[in-house]
Amino acid sequence: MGDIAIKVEGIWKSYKLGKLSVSGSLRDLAGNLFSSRNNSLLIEGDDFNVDVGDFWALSDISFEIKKGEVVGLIGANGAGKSTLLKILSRVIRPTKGEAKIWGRVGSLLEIGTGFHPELSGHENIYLNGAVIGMTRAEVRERYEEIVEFAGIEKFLKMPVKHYSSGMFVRLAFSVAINLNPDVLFLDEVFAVGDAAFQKKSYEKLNQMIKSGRTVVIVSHSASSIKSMCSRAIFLENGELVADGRIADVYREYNEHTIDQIHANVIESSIDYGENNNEELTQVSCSEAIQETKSPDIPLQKVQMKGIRVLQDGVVKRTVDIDKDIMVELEYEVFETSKINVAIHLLDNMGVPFLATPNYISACIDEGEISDQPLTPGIYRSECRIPPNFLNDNMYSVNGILIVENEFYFQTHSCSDFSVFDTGVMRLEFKGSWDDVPIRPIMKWGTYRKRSID
Amino acid sequence: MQKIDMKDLLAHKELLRALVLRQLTVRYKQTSVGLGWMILQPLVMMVILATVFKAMPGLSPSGVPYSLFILSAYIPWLIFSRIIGEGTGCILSEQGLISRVFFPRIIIPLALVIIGACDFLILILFLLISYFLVTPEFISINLITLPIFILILLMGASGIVLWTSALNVRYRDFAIVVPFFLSILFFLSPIIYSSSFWPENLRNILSFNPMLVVIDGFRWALFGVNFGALNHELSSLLTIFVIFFSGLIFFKKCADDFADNL
Repeated sequence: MGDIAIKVEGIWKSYKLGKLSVSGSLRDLAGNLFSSRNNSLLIEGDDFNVDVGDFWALSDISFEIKKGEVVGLIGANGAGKSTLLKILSRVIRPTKGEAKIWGRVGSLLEIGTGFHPELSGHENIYLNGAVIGMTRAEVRERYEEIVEFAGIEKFLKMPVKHYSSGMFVRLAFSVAINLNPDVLFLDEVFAVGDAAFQKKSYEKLNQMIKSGRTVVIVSHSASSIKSMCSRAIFLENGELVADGRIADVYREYNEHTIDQIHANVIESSIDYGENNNEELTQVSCSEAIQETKSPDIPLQKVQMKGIRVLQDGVVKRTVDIDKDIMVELEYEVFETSKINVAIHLLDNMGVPFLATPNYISACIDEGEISDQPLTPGIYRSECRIPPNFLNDNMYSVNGILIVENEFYFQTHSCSDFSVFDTGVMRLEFKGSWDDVPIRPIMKWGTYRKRSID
Repeated sequence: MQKIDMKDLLAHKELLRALVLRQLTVRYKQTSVGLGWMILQPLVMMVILATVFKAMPGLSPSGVPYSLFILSAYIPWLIFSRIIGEGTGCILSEQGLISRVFFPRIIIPLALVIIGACDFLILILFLLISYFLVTPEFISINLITLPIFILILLMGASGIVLWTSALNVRYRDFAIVVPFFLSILFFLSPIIYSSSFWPENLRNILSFNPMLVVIDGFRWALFGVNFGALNHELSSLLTIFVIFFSGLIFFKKCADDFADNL
């Protein structure tokens, strides 16, 4: 076991569904004593009874974490990340299975745990230190450091109930991060304080990581996980889906997330029956989610059939960063007219950052038809996004049809995809560029202006 | 298993100290009279009870001044009822800690009993001073047994708190039931009367009251008032032991799931 810090073996955790089990009353106690239904709880509505079973928050989770590893725990809300951290930090007990941890554990499941509003900052430092397992001597040793890190020297004698929320949170984080445990659990604690304080916190945390501490981080911020962790564990609906190198796990995670978004889009589109038989259609855009800028133009003139994102000729939801990405629009023309198409690319916040039309003046045309009126029929326009152009992130495509240079139909966030960085473009730098949508390869030159001896 | 528990407990003694200190600091920080309140309450109650019940014959048969006779029982009762009254909700009121940090949950009721004992120290001092001033003629060798009865009292109170605080997590009714139960127990305990007040057959039932042996013990240590029948005192003592040890086991059994049930 020498180099293992955490060992999790077949952990299961179940919760009873239904509110009654949370806070009951004596009546329930009496009811439970005298009733024969012992295993499942009964919720009584006005005129019906619903038998509620168990909900598995975690099912059969097993993994090992070596000493000095920094692991990110990722997954959607409700995937079981926090439950797992609570089990590891012994706050709750697993229903089945066991977890072993070697070394002293520090866990920061929520900022400000164990602060008392009536006590002064000074007294709270000692109290909070005790809560997270420090002795008085240890706190005294790091007292100066904690106070300085939090930047609240002036307010130490003031009860913390008079603190601003920023001061409160800084003090709490400062105590926790100066604890220096062997194994540290952090649950979504980064959105703390202002930018300057956040930077300080990251630096401090990175110091801890460098000194060989084992850290498990839960965060929805891909950039903080990518910049700190070497390994990720991806949970979905309480099950372990992927575990391994950060890039591989994120690829899986993005695929699942995109699937989820697509599922939602299809559910929310009112009518797509007509397009059901279109095999290639990644997402069918019905009239319901098309928007016309001018109500005068009848929809009969042209109709969007679908938008697809392809790579290597196959429809994909996750594409590699170092290959062409093909965006395909398929539309039906009912009446001969001049039709142009365009696409908008939107970042993961839904903000458009790129537009490209197939006007002769605005593109390098590769197709067989260009700049001519289209006779009735089904058409396909494709746009090739060059390799090593987008960042690794999630994107959506909006398709736009422009009729007679004037009117257009637009689809809304129909087609989502994520770009996966295979590593070609980040050989040297392992950090993150999460904030930008575009990260193209550019020409660079560095020249010596003069030498200094 | 038991060994590991002790290890955990020792590793968290700092937290125990911090919780006790926190409670004491908060209590005396906000009140301007501070210690005064502690003594004022039993003093006023003693005066009221002594005035009201003095007229009733046969309550205090042993020649002890009635006011001190009441005080010697009211002070242990006050601590007993205060620990239980505050203790029932102690797990709930620390739910912020329990649902986020691991520590042996028993620290919370333990801290509460320690705080209760601190209060007790002040009240006992008050009792002893009144005793030395008003009735020095009763001082005897019995007095050195007083700490034993204090321990028995704390044991009984902690036993009940272990039960009610754990039960209160799942069944919030206990927060209502316990004060009600305490106000009944006040009159069933030999506080305003001596333990020989009830008729024999009723005494058999009432001897399961944990306060019986404590109050009789106090009065014996201070005034040399005779204990009641030995079997009554023993069954009272036995009740305390049963409640305490079963409470420890029950609390331990529930403690693992507190975070899930809060």
